[in-house]
Amino acid sequence: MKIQSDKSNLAYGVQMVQRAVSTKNTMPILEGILLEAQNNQITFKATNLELGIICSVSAQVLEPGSIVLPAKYFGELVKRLPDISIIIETNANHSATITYGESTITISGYDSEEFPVLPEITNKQAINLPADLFKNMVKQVSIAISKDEARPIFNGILTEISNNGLKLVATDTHRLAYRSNTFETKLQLKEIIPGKTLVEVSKLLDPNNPVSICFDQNQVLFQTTNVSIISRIIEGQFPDYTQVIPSSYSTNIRLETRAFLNALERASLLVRDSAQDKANVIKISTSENYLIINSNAPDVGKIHEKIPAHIEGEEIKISFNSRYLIDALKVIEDEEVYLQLTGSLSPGVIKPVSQDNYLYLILPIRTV
Amino acid sequence: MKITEKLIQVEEQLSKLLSEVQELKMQVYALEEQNETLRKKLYEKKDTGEGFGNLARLYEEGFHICPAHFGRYRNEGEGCLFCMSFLKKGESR
Repeated sequence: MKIQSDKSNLAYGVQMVQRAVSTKNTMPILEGILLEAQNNQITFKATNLELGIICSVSAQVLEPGSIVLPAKYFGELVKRLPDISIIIETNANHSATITYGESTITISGYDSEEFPVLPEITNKQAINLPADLFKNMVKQVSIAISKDEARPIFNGILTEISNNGLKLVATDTHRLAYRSNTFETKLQLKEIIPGKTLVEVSKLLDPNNPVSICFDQNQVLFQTTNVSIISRIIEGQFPDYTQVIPSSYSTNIRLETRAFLNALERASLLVRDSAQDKANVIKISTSENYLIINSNAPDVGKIHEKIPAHIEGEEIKISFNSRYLIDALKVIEDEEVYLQLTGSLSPGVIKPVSQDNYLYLILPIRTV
Repeated sequence: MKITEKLIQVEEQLSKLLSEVQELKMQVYALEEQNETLRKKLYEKKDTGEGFGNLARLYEEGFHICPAHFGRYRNEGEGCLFCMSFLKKGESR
């Protein structure tokens, strides 16, 4: 293989696929990036067997061929190359010589034949979405993904496609985030995509281009103009989330998102616990046209916040983990939100006021 | 004579034993009877929601009762949406 390219194209390709390079030492070749040169195009591939990324950039191919180069060295090197024409040429012993100006560097690599073949998805049925919309959907839902790896289904995002469009759902069983987008499609499926993958995918997508998503039996493929991302699907059955979403409420509170978020952030300062999974309990109550937030840490101090709000229905006193509330308010772009509650033991719902496509369900904390 | 006396003694002991066995037999019979009735009562209760009560108690004691996490320990103070919806469904039945 012999190619000639400029630095920016090489750096772009490496940067795109780097997220899929394996960090585990089980298979050394997976710590590498596969370079394939043909038809005036250089294709970068990386995989950790869970996620695979393929990115093609144009280059002058002087001699077609392929090689696997260790991402650690090749990636760092490409970033530091001067901005001139660069030639990469493979040698007989699975190494590559990179020539830039009068200087050269030789890196040992691996035989490209040993690199795992990335699965091909032949299914042509795909849904197309604007990338910025998809990014936003993932951002709003991924906050509720569970970090506990004992139950893999909760590490994923349920992706449900039906004739009403796309629905994404994630839950760690303490809270649940749901986002829908309506469009017409004939596809019907329900799969769980690893949450980490979706977060990575949404980082790689160019917001100005559409993304196409298609599913195979065990894989999902995301495609944009020059990048393809393949991920495995999590096996298992996602619990029926529709039955946990309350159909009614006894108290409806409408208030400004920003004011609520700021007050919560102040209130949680005192009760913040360094241990992530420990509850940061804040108490919420209603009084006429105000929502009152109280938090109390006996050895630090206490805080009392009063936010103007439109309140309908019964008065209420309820405790929440402030971190869970903050997570949701940070991803809601609407100026106002509804907080809908039914007694102090039933889950509360947070929704944007002007749209009906997002819902965040949160369980209260029992306090004595 | 001595042997006759001894035999009489043995006979007395045997009849004592026999009466004890008879007494025990009656007691065992009564216990078996009682056991049967209690068992019947227990099953009757289970049919009318004892199982649900057991699950509710398990949840109270800090364990998951939802299919996804069944039997796993819950973090203290943090509920589970799926357990709660299950409990709700049971209560409204």
